[in-house]
Amino acid sequence: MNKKLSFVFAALMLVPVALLGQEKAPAQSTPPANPITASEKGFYGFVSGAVVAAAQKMPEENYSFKPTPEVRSFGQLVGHVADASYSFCSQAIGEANPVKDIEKTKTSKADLMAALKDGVAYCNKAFDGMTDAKGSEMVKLFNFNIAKLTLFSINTAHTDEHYGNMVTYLRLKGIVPPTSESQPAPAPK
Amino acid sequence: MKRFSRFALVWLAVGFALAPLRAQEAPKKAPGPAPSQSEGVLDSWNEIGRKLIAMAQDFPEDKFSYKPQAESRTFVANLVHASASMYFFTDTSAGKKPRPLSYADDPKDVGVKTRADLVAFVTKCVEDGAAEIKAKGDKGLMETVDDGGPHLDRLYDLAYGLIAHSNEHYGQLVVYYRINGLVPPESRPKK
Repeated sequence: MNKKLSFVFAALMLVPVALLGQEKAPAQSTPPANPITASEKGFYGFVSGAVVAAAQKMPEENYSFKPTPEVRSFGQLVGHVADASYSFCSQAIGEANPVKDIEKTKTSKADLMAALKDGVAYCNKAFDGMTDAKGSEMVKLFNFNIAKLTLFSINTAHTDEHYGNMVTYLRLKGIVPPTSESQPAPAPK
Repeated sequence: MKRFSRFALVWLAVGFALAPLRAQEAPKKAPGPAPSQSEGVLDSWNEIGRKLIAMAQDFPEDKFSYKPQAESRTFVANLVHASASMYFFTDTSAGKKPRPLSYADDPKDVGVKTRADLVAFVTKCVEDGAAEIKAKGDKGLMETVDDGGPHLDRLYDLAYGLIAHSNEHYGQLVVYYRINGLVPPESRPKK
């Protein structure tokens, strides 16, 4: 397996094995119960884990780092991802958003790490009560009708894009991003 | 199961822009049917593909070799990598071994020298994958395949794995833009 696609395989590893059959079997196996929800939760688990690891790995003195004045600092990225987690996941389960303005109110690594972990835990709890049938129910997002599972999906895509931001911030500080840690050094050409 | 896709984000953005006009209109039409699973995957695939193609068309050619740090990929290598790896889904879905260029990590590996080459390459990677998703449809995407991982994977998950991969690299490239004092295409005011 090529190391460059380790991100994809690592993400797929979190798609529940039990739902797919633990042994390699012929294709066309029967889809598991709630396959879409299980997939969404698996991908979110990988991506949110990567963001938490990135937030942990960045030293506190770099939480105020931003590559240019127009963009978020690293710490603001962490807060923004936490805010979005609460926003999307609360709407997916029809609850009032329980936590807001993390990005605006927290600056220390400890506070932002805690808020991020809590936000991820909130989303994971939201997934636990979800099924494919419930996920296909429509909810209002502003003036639009959106399927509940799509809100989870949007949250994952959003988290993933900002993890990509964090990867470059980490590299700029000479730090290897969490998802690249286990990769061997490239072979000389 | 029916569901909307991440493409809804774009729809939301357009909707907000038109909100003042819409408020003056007479009764709103009921929303149309939600896309099917494969349509949702296709929308997500095309959405991140559109963003990558836009960057290929837009980023200054004289900065193609820019990289933020010695260990990072250059702009063009990053885009080539994100796009080429889409064939890991496309070929696997078609029942083939992923072509060697799936692992391309250097523009030279895929003959990309100019902007035109890059745009053509990224566009083909996106379009070939989109065609495969369409061909598979809802039922086909639920097939399981041996993609070399520790367990079989559904094509649906493999497609989303590559979409996620592309999103991450898109996020990296956004920072490449900003460091160079440029605004990413998606962040510019819409005409």
